[in-house]
Amino acid sequence: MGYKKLLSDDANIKLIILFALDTYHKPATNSDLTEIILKELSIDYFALQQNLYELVKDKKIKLTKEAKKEYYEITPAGAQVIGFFENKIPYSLKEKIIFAVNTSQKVAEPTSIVKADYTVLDNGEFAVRMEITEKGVPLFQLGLNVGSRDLAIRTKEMFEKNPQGLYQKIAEEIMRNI
Amino acid sequence: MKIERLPVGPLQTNCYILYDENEKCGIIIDPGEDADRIVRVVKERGFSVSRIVLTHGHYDHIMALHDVQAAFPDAQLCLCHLEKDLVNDPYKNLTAYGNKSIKPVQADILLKDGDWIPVGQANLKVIETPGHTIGSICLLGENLLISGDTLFYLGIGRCDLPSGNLASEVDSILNKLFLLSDDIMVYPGHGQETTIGFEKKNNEVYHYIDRSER
Repeated sequence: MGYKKLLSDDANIKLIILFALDTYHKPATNSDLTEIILKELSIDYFALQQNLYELVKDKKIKLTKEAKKEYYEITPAGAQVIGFFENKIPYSLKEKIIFAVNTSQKVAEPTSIVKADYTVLDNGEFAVRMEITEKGVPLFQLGLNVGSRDLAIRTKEMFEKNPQGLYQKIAEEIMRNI
Repeated sequence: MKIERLPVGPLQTNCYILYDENEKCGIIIDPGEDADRIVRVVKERGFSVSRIVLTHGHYDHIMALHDVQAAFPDAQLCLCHLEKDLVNDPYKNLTAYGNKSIKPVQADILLKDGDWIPVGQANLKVIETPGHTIGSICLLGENLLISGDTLFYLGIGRCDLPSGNLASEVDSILNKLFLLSDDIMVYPGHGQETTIGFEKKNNEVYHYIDRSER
């Protein structure tokens, strides 16, 4: 079955819905599910809704109401279907759904924190400390002594402007010589 | 030449072992995870490993590399020359996003388009297929193609990751892979086998042609 035909075949659309819900790992609203599936896959919106309805009717997914919102959740029977037939879904489709689920569930958080500051040393020089922290773990730390406050400020600003670029250059240079 | 597929790791990456039963030698392609299992299967088949080949440098294709190399210290590591930086950059090999880490990867042989990899009496030809990553390659044997993450059953590899490029991917598939004979069996980096002929008629790549030309 060709790619286009696969995305218009009701049995496959149902499998895709079940896989998406199974991957989502929690109850999903109609708009959550629609966004996950339609964002990455060229499935007809009405075909998607029709197949959602049929899956509820067949008790492969359940529809519950909470705080004026409706949620879809995969049932044990639906999970069993996915267990048997997941391999029927081409890898590239599964990858798209997983990516869409991960994107939708991502909580906005800073992936990395950049810090740079300077202090005056006893000898009159200025110590600039630069750091990249990734999820609370220091990824990169660099210390540089410079001769003036102006230079310290410029060094700090230069680092803050492009910390990842500097980190990458240093890492590449080290890797090249290993 | 025999080929066996070993789906490994949480992303079920296809690690392939190809070997010449008569010459008792072979290669391992994409040791993504489960080093113990890969090593055990190779030892059960009873062949010496001359090369370990990476179709590209993403973490799900390389995480078991060092353990497999330790088990087969005489095997030469082969990687496309364009991929040698990506494989050692945690933001490009994607280990940084998966809270994983891998020791530096040092290739023994940097492959180029048209190079040959011997597997006993048979040979695999290297085809550079940039797109999924800049240094992605496919390996063409007699009636078989190891396609890495370039071409899947009914799909193509993602091009939105670092060094990925949709236009390159489409070009690699349409102007290199789809020019091959229809009856060639395709062994992708994930998922089931397929054939060139089937994918020429049914693959999603045609969906991307307009987008790649923008």
